Amino acid sequence: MTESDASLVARARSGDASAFETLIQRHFRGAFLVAMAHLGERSDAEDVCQDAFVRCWERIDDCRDAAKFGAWLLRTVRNTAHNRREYLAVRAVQPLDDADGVASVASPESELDRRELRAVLWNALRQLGDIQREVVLLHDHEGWPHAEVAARLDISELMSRRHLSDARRILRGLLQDDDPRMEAERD
Amino acid sequence: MTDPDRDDRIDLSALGISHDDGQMKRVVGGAMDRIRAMEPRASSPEDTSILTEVARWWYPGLAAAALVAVVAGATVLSGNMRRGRYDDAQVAARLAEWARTGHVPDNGELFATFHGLDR
Repeated sequence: MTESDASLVARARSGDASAFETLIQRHFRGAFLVAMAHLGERSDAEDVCQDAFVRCWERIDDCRDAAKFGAWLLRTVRNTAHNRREYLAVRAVQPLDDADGVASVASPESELDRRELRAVLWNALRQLGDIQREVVLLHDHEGWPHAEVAARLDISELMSRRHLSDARRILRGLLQDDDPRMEAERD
Repeated sequence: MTDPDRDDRIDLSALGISHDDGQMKRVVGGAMDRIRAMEPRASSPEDTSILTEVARWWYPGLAAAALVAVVAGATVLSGNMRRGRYDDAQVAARLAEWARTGHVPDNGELFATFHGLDR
């Protein structure tokens, strides 16, 4: 039988790192997608997840409801991602002296197409609110039911449905004059 | 039960963020390396452990103690019942004495007075 989050949290609180490892493996996917929803870059999202996991270990005693560890973890990931996004926004306006050469790496045409398509999607996703982006990624990309999305994001199922509906309406509006490459990618 | 929202979902597969076991191992492994390299957690492990254990076993401990008390009480009562009845006159005399003196009996006195009475 799978050990409950509450039991694993109790073990982690007493210093059992392997119990904590099981917890973050269990909730990794949700954490990564929440980080992606805020940052849109895989490597940034991975860094944020790692920082948030370490932070959660340090503050595991602050997790008041051990049965809701997943929601607490995702909240920490969201806050860490938010801070990271602010830091990246500040850094983006500064000159990058050491960036030479990165953009000059040649890419195959298909990879370029994929990148452009990804950029179109991310640009559309960026028009959504943070919580709408989290819900649409967890539901439509990851396939989680509303009950699970609601539990992990600490919102009601009704709000999960509402955010999804709003997000889809906005995305469809933005993507309706779709780049033909999107159709090609789906085929 | 099927989720009607599933039929209407937007295809986001082009984002390139599909499930990746290697990614999870790398990120979780990196975090665990940092965690294991840390000093033991700030609060004293012994103290935390004791507090945690007390918190964890408080309610089950109370429940167990209550169960033991009920079983012990039932055993004592049934044993006394088997030994026979007390004289009703003695009980009545004691009650009258309490009423006369205004004495409020405690649990022990009540238990001793009615001990074994099959009522």
